[in-house]
Amino acid sequence: MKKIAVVILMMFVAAGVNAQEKYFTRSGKVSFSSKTDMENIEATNTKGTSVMDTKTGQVEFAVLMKAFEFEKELMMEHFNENYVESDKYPKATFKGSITDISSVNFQKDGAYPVKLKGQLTFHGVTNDITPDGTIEIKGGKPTGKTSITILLADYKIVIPNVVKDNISKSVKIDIIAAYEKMSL
Amino acid sequence: MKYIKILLVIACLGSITGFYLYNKPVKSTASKSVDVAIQAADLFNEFSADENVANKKYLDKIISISGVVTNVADEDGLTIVTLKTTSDMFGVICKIEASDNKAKSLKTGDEVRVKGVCTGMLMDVVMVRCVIE
Repeated sequence: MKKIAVVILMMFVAAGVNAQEKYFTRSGKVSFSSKTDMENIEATNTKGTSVMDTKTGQVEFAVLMKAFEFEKELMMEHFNENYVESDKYPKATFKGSITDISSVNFQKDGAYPVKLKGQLTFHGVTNDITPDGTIEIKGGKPTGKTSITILLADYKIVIPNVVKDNISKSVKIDIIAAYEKMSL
Repeated sequence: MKYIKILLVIACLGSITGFYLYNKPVKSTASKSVDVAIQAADLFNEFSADENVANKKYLDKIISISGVVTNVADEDGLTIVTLKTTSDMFGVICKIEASDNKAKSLKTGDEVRVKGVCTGMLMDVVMVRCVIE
């Protein structure tokens, strides 16, 4: 009986420790821009969710493609219907880890450069990416930032010839996630 | 000569409308008609039960959701209203349009009807371009 009690107690302790090391956000910001001489296309999504485990360095990030907001209606339509086909592929995800998470002191304010490694999936295609990022600690709260540049061709996004001067072949994506401690 | 003049006028009008359509800003949800009306908890349950089916049914649709407010937050000047569902942790998140001025005064526990565009489910169901009805 005692043994069981100890095991149960240990499970609680373990779960408690675990919860302490996980950070979470449901307002991760993802914006992208395609710049050409003809036209700049920009869109922002502020409703990404992300979980970061500060012990193992594991990071997951997900956004809904339809939650990207554009200035022009036509751009939004083309983005959803012709390019990312958001009816068929409603989400974009990153699953990976911060490989040098041990270099971040989560107790001390500051900006720590980090390296990420993982898989980016959208439009039904998954590719390995290894972007650089930073983790900023302010008042005990971490904010993760990274920028990635992707080639549209790598994700099977075809740009029709007519608009090939308006859309850049590579797109820069900025990601900011201000995390809160996960309270379970 | 006359024909050329008429053609020129048509070409001019054409390029003006073209330019206008091309630069048309994203329309406010306030002026759009509702496709589906549903309770927040029911919408959440449908997404939890089968995301693919719910995606087909609700993605991109203008939905009028009724529910109880569990949280009102300000993110970079935009109001985010979360509606109660059957889950303790996750809800229906509504990102309110900048033009809406009713959302700011909402409080936890208020019953509301929100009209917006359904974008799918991550852990919560996410609605964008919402207005309070």
